[in-house]
Amino acid sequence: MDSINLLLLILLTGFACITVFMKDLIRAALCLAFMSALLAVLLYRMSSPYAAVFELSVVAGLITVLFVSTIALTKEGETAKEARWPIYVFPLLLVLFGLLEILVMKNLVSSAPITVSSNGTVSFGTTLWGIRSIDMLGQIAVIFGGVFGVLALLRERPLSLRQQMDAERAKEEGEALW
Amino acid sequence: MLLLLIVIPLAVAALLPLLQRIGKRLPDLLATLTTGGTLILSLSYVGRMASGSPLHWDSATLGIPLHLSLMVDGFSLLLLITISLISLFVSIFSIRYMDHYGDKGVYCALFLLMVSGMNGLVLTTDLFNMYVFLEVAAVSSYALVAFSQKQDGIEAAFKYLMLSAVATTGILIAISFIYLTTGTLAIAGLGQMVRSSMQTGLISLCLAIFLMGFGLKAAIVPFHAWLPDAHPSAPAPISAMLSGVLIKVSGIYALVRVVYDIFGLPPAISQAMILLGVLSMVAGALLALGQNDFKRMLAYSSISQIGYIVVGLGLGTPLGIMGGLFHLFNHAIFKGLLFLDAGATEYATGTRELDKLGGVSERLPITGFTTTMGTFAIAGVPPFNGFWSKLFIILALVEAGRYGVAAIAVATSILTLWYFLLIQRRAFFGKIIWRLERIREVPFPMAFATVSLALICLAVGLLFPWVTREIIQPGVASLSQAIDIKSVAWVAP
Repeated sequence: MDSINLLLLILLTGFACITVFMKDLIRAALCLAFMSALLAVLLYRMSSPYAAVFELSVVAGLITVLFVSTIALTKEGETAKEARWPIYVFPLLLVLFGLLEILVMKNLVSSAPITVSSNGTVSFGTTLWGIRSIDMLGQIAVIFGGVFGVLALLRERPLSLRQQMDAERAKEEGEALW
Repeated sequence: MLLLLIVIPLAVAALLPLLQRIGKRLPDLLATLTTGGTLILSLSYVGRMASGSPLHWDSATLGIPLHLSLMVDGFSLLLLITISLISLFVSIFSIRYMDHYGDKGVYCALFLLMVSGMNGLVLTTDLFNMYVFLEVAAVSSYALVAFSQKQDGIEAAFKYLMLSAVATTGILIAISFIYLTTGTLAIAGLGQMVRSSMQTGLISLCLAIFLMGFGLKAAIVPFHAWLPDAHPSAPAPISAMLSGVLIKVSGIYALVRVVYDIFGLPPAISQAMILLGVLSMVAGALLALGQNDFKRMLAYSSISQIGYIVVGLGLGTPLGIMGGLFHLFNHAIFKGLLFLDAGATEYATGTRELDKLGGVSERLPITGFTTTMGTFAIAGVPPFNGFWSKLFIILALVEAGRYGVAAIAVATSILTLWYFLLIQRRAFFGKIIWRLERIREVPFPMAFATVSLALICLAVGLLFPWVTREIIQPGVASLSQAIDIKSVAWVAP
């Protein structure tokens, strides 16, 4: 493997780990964005410019904006006790995936015949609108899902069912008195 | 036109947050009309694919300069009808039930996005499109689970999101390996290429990842940890959609489509599916038995019933497939009904804890009656729909010489009847407890949805020869063709 790619991969993994362990959510979101930017560079270097553009614009850009705005809108108040199990489980998983990569994946993937050839003559527009049109429809739906999800979670907190029933009952009793 | 089944819910969802300003009830109306329209459109394909051959639709035929290709066969049509039917009654139920949650426009938009994603998933001809639509349905469902904004809902949604992310990452990796090996993502062409591939190690790994990934989406034991939290924490109509439809579309449908169409149901996977199905059947029923929360009990029951479906489909015989598909259809109806009943009970009493309920049928006769109908259907009491589908699965197991599994299926069915009768006794029968003496029956739209689903349970049971011939048999034919077995018209013409 190219030494620059290897360095990028190590940096990428490092930022991914920092993202998981960072206590400050804003900084964690920024580390994640930086990790995505490194991934975009890596994808570009590995002859996948379209994937790199998407990674940079959607993951490093749009998702970071969503994360940062959500965190910024969250009010201080209730404190939550952070679970400690990820501290123990995460390094174990990291080692497990590393071993899986070294012992299994590398051999399996390298033994597969590469039947896919990159065709440099196909334009970006043709790939998106001509070949993968349905994916675009799905991507639009995913973006809508994300936006509506944020709207749903950040809306004004509704009354509980019990509170509403009590309110309705009080209203009816009030009307009965009249 | 198949594309409308994806585009109409998507377009209405996109416009809803803007249109809700026009009228308070407009989101409800549009959601109901959209789901009703998709049901009519889905039903228009009934009777057009008895041979098992799929119908293809391509945008080129209409001169649209985009590469849009969709397909419907007997199996996908069954799922389309199931999605549309349940989503229609869930929309009607939501009209009043979701009032106190606020922001109905966003709720209906997320709901329609979920419907659009599920429709896309069952209509696509491409493995990567399947993944994309899986995510569309999943992203909407995470937000809907947390829609109440209560701590348990948000926690459950987070757990669901994390475990689903593991599943979808695995699925994406397996898809990329398949593409690497074959150079195509078209499901139709993949079967021959994968089965003749020399890369048996990589192909087997992909198959195992698919089984785990889609198994997690379907909440098959031991990949079920997210479901007992997510389904009860969601608002009741969403629980009905998740348990009734989503786990079947993003779990069972996707798994079966991949395992049958691409891998041809290898014997090892058939065995694994039967084993996991039996585990789910038994574990789900035993865990349901000890629950005090009405909806949590229904969630565990879903794991158990999914077990029946997986056993039938894992068996791979025409009768097994018939039983599995029929139970998939039936479970969507009666589990949808039971979750809506649980919601109606909570709406009227303010609780879903069985300890705090008692004699509710006295004040909620409609909800009590429909819950009893749902209980009979899920427990497999004749002539309800659940009886026939469980009978088909048990007959298929006996026919295949799997007497032990058949005995477990019968015993689990009895266990199911037992724990559902316990609910009836604790919550609905007997004299009403003093605290609940002032409760009133739920509003008309909610009662209409539950009564309709209860009647459908009975109607499907009484008209089962017609239902199996027109709706289930084409699905059996599609799957039988995929694994090269001779499909038989088992039911009376």
